[in-house]
Amino acid sequence: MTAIASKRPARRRRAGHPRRRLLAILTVFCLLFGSVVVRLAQLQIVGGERYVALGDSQRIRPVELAAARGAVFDRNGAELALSVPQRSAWADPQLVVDAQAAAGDLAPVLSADPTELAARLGSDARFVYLGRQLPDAVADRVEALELDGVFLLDEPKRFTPSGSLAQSVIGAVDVDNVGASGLEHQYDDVLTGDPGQLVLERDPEGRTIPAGDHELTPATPGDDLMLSIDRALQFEAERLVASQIESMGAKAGTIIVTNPQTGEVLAMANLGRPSTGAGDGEDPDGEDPDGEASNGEASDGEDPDGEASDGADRNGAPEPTPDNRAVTVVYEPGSVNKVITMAAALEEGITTPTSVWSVPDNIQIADKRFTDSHPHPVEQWTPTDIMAMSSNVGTIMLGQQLGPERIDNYLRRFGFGQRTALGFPGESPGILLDPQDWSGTAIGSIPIGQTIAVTAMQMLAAYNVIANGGVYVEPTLVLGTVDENGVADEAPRGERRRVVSEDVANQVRDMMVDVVDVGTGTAAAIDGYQVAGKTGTARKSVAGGGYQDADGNYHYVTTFAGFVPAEDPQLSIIVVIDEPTSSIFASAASAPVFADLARYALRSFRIPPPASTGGIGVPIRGGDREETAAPAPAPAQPGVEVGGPVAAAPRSPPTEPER
Amino acid sequence: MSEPLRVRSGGAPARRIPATAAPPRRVPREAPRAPAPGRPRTDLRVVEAPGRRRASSSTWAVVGVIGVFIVLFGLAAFHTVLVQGQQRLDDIDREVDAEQARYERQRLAAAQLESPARIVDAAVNELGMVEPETTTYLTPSGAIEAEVETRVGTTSQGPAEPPAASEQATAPVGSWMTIKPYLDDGR
Repeated sequence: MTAIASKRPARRRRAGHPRRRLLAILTVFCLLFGSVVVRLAQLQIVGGERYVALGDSQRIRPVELAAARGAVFDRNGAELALSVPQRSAWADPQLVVDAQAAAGDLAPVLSADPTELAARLGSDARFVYLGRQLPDAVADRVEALELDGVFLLDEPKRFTPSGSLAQSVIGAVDVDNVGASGLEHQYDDVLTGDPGQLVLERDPEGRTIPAGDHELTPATPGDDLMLSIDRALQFEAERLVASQIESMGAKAGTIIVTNPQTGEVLAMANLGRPSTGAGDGEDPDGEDPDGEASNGEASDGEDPDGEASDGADRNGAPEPTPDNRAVTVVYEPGSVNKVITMAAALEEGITTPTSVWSVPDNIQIADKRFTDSHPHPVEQWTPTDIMAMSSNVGTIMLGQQLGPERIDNYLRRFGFGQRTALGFPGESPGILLDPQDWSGTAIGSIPIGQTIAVTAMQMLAAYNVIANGGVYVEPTLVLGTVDENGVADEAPRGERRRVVSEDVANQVRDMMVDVVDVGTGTAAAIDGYQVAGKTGTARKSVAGGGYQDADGNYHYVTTFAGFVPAEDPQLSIIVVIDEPTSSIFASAASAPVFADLARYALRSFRIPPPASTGGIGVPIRGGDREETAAPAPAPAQPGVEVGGPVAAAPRSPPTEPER
Repeated sequence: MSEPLRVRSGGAPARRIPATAAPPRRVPREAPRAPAPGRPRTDLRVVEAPGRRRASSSTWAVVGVIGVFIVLFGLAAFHTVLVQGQQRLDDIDREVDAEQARYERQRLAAAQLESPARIVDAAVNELGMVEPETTTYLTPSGAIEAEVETRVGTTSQGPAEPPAASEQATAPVGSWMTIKPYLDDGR
């Protein structure tokens, strides 16, 4: 007890100052509490907004909802292009544990350079792509690696289910699904739509925090595009032009099929050899710089001194060209332009279909002598004969009567020198010089389709004027759009304007029927149908001017343009073969393709021969050919009064040809 | 009632009252009388009503703790349900996305299968089909054409009345029934 008693006084000493100790403890607690309050005030008041923002940034993650890009359909609803989600591999380098090892694992899977991958994985960024829009098998292998900091996300990728079909028309998109060429570029705003946004609060493991912020702004998908293209016809057109390029040893080829009554483009095929680029080997302006025409540059018959090109760059199977040559590449059309000269001459009353003209086989214009394709004596030809024989001299004689101003006027009214309503990216307006800029020989070259340059689409649209009874119908590639609710919005139709009278159009059409029946275009004939068309074989101008290359060779472009059935045109087709070598003539290079494709299209679209045809072999016109045998004045001597109408056949009414 | 009641009287210490003390009796109303000198006045007492007892603060505390526990437990359970629901919603969202992607892929596959190039390839390489070198077009003869005009009328005259059943059965040679006899089965 003594020991215990001796300790108690000490306790009593501590217990003797409880107030002081309590005060000390209170002070300490107050200080601690005060510091908490200060820190709390600092967090909540002074830096509150910053920390709220920091917290939000960690929890709230806005996710952009990509708007689905609209599909591209053909006229029957078949998909030509559509977007499908594909997985892309990405990494957050801050979460990657071992960049070198991860790169080593990923490189063989992604078929990428491991050094480059390691550099990406070791960067300071928080987001780097490792591979975009991967095939499913590759994405599965990346996922199976289970690498830290490596993730997958869905991205839409553009596919063309029919492969390269109509590739030059549809165009392409870049890796971010932005239209880069063709209709994908032209209608990018329509196809793209508006992206949406989803705001979610997520925990560190990526799970959605219940009752957290949740704000959804839905994406508006892009509209679908309904084209006037018919997929099956497009395939057949591409197949035929590829076959013809191969068989003719040509460089490239273009086919356009339209419904002349509506202007709808049913097929637009552009193929070329792999080495063929836009304008490769051609004068992109399609213009002879000095405006001088060479001798007999437009012909459908045998060219006396014409040599085909040497067939260089003819290796490799034809494949779709990246650019839509039908509207972007211009060329001198040659004799197919004679239809316009003839229509102008008829419309202006220069001639009638039955007027007889004395046509020699050559004509001097300024310092150039133009010839027909074959030597012949002075012939008594009607305009129908001039057209059927594709006489350069006869057409030039008509052109001289028209004069530069009227020729230029009609060329423009037929749509030359201006872009069509297609508005296709890179579309060319063609080359059409003002009459005051014409050279001395232009009055000889332009009526026969030289020294001007047009696109294939412009030329076919001009032929559609004849098919439509003299009315120009703007071509169209897009029938309309379909929004996300399936509501179709029809595209506005282009302008229709009268170019020549219906009578003149019918007269020219009958002449074109003769071209196929007995003229240069017999290879375009189709059993059971009347075909109206015209051949054109034109020399190509070469870079630097003129028509001969460095080796002294000429290069040619052959064209056949026409429509069927001639009585009630439902289809119009133009076939352009660039630099054929097996034969340089349109009658062999282009006309047969027209016939093959037209046969297919007539069957495919179930277009019967008009009842008035009366079956196979019954012509829709008759009679007036024989009338051309009526006596005509004595043939003019070369160089003397060549050109004027010398007589008119007495019978056939010029405005209402017999059927 | 065996517990003695404590009564306070004007700041004086409480006195313990025996449990056996007689219950207070009602005093008849009389005029207030002055207390007798030298005798303290009896303090007023608060008596408890029979059968009623005020809960103690500890009882309230226990009840409060239990209530809070129940509320917290309920909240936790509700939160769990919420989390599970959210997780299910996330799963459904992922499933919808996956199905949507699957639909898109199958749509692409169908379009690829329908492509003309594949069909031609299958026809030529799998089925051995070939393109004919020549195409033969059938043209109705003049007799058939005349008969058709007779039976159905020409375009200019407008469509003719459909033939009677007896006429169909006795169609002349050269009619569709001759060309396609399987059509002549009385249907």
